[in-house]
Amino acid sequence: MAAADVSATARTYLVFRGDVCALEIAGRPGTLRSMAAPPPGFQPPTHPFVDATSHNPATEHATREVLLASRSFEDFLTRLVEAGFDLASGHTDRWDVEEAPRRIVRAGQAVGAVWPQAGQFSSLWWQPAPDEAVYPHALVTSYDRALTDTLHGMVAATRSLDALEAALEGLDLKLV
Amino acid sequence: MHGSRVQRSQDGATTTAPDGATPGASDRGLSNQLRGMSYAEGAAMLAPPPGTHAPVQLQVDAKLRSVGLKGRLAGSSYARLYDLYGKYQKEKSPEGAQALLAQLDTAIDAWLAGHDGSDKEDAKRLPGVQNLSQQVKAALAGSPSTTETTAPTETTTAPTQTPTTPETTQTAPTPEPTPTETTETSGPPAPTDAPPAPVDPILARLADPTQVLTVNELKTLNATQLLSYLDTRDKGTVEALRNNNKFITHAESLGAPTFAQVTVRILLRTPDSVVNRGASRDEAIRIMTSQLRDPEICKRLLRNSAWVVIVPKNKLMTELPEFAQWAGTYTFDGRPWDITRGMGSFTAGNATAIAEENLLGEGVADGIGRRGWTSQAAQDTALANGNTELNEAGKAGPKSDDPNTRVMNPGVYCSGYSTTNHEFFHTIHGLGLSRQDQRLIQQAYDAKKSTPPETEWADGPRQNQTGSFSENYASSTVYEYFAQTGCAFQGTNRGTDPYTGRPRNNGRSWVTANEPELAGLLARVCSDSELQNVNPRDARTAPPPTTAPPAPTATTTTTTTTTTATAPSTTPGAAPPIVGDSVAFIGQR
Repeated sequence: MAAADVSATARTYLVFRGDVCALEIAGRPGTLRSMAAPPPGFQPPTHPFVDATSHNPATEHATREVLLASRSFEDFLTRLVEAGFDLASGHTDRWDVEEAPRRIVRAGQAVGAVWPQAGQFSSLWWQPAPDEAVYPHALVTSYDRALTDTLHGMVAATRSLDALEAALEGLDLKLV
Repeated sequence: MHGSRVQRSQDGATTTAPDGATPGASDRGLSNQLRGMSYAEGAAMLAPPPGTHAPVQLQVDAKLRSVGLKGRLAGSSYARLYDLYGKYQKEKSPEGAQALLAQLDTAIDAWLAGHDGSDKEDAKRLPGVQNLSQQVKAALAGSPSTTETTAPTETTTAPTQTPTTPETTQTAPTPEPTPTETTETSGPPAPTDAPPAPVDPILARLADPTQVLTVNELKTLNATQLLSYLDTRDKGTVEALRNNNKFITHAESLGAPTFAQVTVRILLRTPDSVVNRGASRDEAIRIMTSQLRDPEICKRLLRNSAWVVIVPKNKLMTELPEFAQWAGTYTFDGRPWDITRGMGSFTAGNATAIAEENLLGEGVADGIGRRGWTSQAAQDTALANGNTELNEAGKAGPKSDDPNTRVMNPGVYCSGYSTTNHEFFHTIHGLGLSRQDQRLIQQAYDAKKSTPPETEWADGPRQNQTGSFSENYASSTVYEYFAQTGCAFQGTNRGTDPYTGRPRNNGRSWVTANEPELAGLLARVCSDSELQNVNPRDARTAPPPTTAPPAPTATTTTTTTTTTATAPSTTPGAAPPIVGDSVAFIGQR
């Protein structure tokens, strides 16, 4: 994560497709940066509600299409999830993420994502300070505002991924 | 002149016609006419008269380079080499054999000196000639034995027809021999009055580009022979070796420099459509090898299915199958992927793109471009209003009559800036470095981002020319930070930053003084010295015009450098500049 890029008010996320990091985004006006080499004289475009850096050429077109359809940062996050991307707290060291996440699903609807590694709990609407809500067994992001506190409570109360999975099943939530 | 005549048209272009042949004969006729001459003789024959205008010389040079004519000339030397070998085998007296051996040695050296890799037939012959050269030199250095050399022709690379004289070729063009033909047609009668030359079966198969050697056979080759094998085999044969642990282990045992050379040959693809395949490939190998000092990086790149593809200067990147999936799509910052000229790879199996024109210090061919929107707002508006038409990929693209669109062209990077170096650093970053090194780069980047804007990066400060804050290219992402600092370490970061308009920093001493964390890592990654003469556009340019460069105007047409370029010329200043380095991004061609 680029520490200097993160202001106190801007939430930041890493956007993954599977185990590939596609984007690093911050919820503030900023610049759109591609991995394509800029030709001489090129100026990267600015954007009114997102500062974003691509991490993967193969997903640039898809993420750009999602962005073009979005009307706010929250809308962008939601649409990314709907398009099959998963979001992790921007306080994550992206070089630590080596596996694809498993989605938390209820009635066919994705309500969160879990990475099998130490990491921070966050949601699409809330992000703790860098050293808060960090758990040793799971990196979790909630995609459902109503379930956020419940999910956070489960992560905090468990000590292993297996235990978390069992707790989730108790609420008809499945890891897929 | 072997009975030929040279004709020159009014514009100075040279054509030749063998006596008795139709004036303006084809290149095949010219090729046959030149057979038997040395390269120097051929060049002299085609040379314009003294005082001829320089562009005529350019055309002569181009003619010699075209359609393998130079290779044909070299091929005639090959015929002489074969002839000498036959005489040597028949020679009874030790003194005569020794003299012929010396002549053969000279002829081989001449052939090897004239071989530039641009001719496919020459390339096939090369391993056999190199092998013969080693044996001849060994014989000259030690006890000369007429039985210890292996004819370059006894496997499959020899010419199958009796070397023809220029006179006969003028009226009866002879088909060029191919290696496969030699096994089925009769060549010069094999000498039977001398002891047969023992042929190492593996070396014989090495000389035949259609032969695939086993790993056990490859292990018997020395480094030169192994690289020669990789240079002459088809793509599939070479690429298959990446997954052969036994081979990779053997290649690594040959030492880091050889392992780097082997790795590059497995990673690199040179499509047939590359205009100057030999020179482009050689330069790509030179640059990439300099970034593979560490065998562990080589192994990770091989394991992670890294590929590097040379994009021809006359094609869009997306015209190649490796990048076809991006045709008609856009980068995250809104440019058509089609016109980009470089791409690193961070995903196993994805290819890295490097550009022929940047390898050779040339420009992109005319007519390469794609229509795009002039701004983010223009694209937003067009998509929202449905003011689009299907593009080449069947996606919603810009309409040709939309005033907020333009044909976008690839840029041309300034002399001394290597996109190959840059993109391959990306690939090393993503697929070659250890997690520990990746974190080291991230930590160095994060720390540097917290320094004041005036702090120098590889691409200067984070300030534009007016002093306002602006990220530079190296500071824009952790990837560009490593790639641009790496280029500076390699001495290939000449020019001006595209974002700030300020001069870049360059050189190993600058990196060592200003980026000590990365300098240590880069010293493990790169060769001992900086790269010289990358993207040598300056060497191809006329002196810059005396008029002042245009002042930067709109952001989409900002010019960044003033270097001008001309077509390759041996007479600088003779031709007017035809393209500038400061090609604007959008629709300025």
